[in-house]
Amino acid sequence: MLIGLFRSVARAFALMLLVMIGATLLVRLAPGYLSDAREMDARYGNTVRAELAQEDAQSRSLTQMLAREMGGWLRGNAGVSRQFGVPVGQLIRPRLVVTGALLLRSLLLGWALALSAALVSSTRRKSGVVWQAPSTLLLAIPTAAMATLCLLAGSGGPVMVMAMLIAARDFKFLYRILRQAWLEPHLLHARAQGIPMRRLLAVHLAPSIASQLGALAGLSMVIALSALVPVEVLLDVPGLGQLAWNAAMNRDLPVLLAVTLLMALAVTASGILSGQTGAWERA
Amino acid sequence: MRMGRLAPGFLLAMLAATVAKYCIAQVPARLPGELAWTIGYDPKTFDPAKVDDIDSETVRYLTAGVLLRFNRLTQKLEPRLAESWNLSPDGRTITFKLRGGLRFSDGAALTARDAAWSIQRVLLPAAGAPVAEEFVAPASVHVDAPNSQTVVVRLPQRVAGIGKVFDEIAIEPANRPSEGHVTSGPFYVAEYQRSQFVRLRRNPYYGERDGSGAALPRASGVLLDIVENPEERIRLFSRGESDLIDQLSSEYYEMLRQKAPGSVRDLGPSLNTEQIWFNQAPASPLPAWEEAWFRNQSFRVAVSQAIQRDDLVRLVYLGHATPAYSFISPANADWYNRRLAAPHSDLAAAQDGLRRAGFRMEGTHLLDAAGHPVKFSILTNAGNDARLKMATLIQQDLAAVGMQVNVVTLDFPALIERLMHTQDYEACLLGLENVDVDPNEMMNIWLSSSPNHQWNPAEKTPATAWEAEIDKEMNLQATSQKDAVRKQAVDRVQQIVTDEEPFIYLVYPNVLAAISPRLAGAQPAVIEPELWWNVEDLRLRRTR
Repeated sequence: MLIGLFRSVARAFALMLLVMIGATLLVRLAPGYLSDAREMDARYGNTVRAELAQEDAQSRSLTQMLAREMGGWLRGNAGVSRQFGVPVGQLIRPRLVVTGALLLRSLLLGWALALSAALVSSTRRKSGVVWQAPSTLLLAIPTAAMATLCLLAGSGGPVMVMAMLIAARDFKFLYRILRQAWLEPHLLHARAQGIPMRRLLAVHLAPSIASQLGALAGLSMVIALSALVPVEVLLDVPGLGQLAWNAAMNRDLPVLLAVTLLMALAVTASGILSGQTGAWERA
Repeated sequence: MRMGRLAPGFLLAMLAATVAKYCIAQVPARLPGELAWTIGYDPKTFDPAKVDDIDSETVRYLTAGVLLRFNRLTQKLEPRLAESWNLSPDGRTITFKLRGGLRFSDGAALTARDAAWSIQRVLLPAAGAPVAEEFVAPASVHVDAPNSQTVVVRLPQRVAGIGKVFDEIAIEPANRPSEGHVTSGPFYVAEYQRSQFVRLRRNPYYGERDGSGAALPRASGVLLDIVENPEERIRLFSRGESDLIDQLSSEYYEMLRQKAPGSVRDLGPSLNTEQIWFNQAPASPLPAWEEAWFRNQSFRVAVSQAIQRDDLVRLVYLGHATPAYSFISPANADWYNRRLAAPHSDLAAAQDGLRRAGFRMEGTHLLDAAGHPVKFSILTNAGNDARLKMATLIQQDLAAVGMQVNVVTLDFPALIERLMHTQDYEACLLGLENVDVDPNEMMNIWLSSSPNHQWNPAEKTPATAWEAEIDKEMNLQATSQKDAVRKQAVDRVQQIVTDEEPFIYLVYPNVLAAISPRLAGAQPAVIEPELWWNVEDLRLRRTR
């Protein structure tokens, strides 16, 4: 098991390295990397041209850029934002808290919604369409459209949009997992013996689906992260998604790199955790 | 099963409560008497000398004590920290006499030494202050404080409109710049939560008083919410969490007008222009025949005549704009040339002009003398609906004279790269924001040697006789001591630009704003900051 964990961590490290190289290449080669909207403004033209000349000198070669960025990260210095002129850490820290809280609330609410709906529907004999339809409908609406609808309606917020998305996706999986689990012989037997529902869930059902729930939790995290940028941008949440969007729009490599690495780290970590849940169960 | 019968109601009620709890938007609480409005992004700096973005400028304007303040309504300079000021007859020496008993927001005395130090600081190359460039030769400017109340600024040469530059220089405590925490202006920076809000508090030692002798500013502070999304700004305003919105788009203006007609204002044409221009740079990678079209004055005039500006006003701006034919807006009463002879929209004249310039129609397509179909792309920035709509309407207008136009939108960095670096574009539709009424501020656009001379940037020598004439007239207005001579020179430049059409002006968008009925003291103006230029007088009305 330890060897498996070590392999996962090594894979994650390699992935982070690739993410770093990929992000640097994409941003550097993006049109407009060495330009700035302030160039058009008479008041700031000379200042910004001097800044760009300096940036140009530092980013002539891609290897030089990569070495600079990687060196900075290895020394624990994520660089200085091109857009705001402050250390990236200063920009990330307050936004990390906001995004972390948003993710946590959305995941909890999404899971609560999905699990409740799945628990109820999976025990019904004829539950199919009634319970599946809302989930299918929600899945058909793009995240950005859902956020825009909330904005135009003047009700709802980022947590609700993300939770709905997570709930809609997870419900489908949870419904199938629970439906299968209820039909397992030991559960059928337990139910036939009239064991109370609370005990049935805690002692018989939960252990048998724990590993699948672990894997699903990892997937939920990926779903939530994928919705982060549109939700935060449209609903004006001062989190990492909004920062990433601004950084991309302004070709702010140090910030974009930091946010991309954090996202990659979160995805990889949730993948490892999901994998480990299965491994622990097998062990 | 019991679960199936009992749980749904309970679970749904619990979840509804949780959803409701988390769906309430989180906004910082407003303090009593505090004004509130939104800014788009985090200010890049609170150091007033280093301001180079609009949001930092907002904070500087609200916190900076300045020697002179430019009254946005009367368009005249008014003394602030200076009791009086005097410009020598040769325009090279400015003497300020400070008011007595001035103090910073921490209670320390403000003397001429602080004022001289603050001016010197922005002039130092190390400070990198953008305002220094307005002194033309900042390294040769000398600043002295002969006594505790007098500041003398000596310029190497006369600079047109130099007085207004002092509206942008914050007077800070000498040798202890505080990034807005200690100021001599109406407010100081009290709290900043990155990407959430900036809170300013009233400077208790601010010396200004109103006509009745009451201390200014009237508001206890200003809360600047950092909100990027324009829809969210409208929401905050509608909920009463923001007191004003400046630079409203026509759509939002109309939307708010329907909801609360008393809260919106159309102040008429702004100083800003929207224009289209053709790439005339010799360094561009365009084929020779396209370069020839774009350098042909008749071609440009015909394009201008084919564009139906009234349609742009009606369909794009919903009536909240004015057709434009000059780089100076009629809102700039002192400098607008009212006798301007402009080629107005006229399809027949456009077709006739093209025919005389050697173009001919073949079916529905226009061909040049060598038989090349007249086909080009108009670039504009993505995310600006008004510009995209204008480009689409222009595409239709030009189709009427046989020109095939494609509309291409790019994000701003990519667009700037094409305009400023690679010059790989045919035509561009963009706007120009004029923050000052004095045409001297537009020198960088009109001088042929300037990198912002968009249609042909950074010319070594003027490429055409009319560009040479513009250079001459703009230099004349920049150095002349006589207002009449300056006005004549600027009028001439307006006429040349209208005749030659290097920029084809489309519209002057109107200044649209929303002001909460709770806000008292607002006197909107067309010059930025339109709604809160007199922030000292703004206050919230008492509600029962």
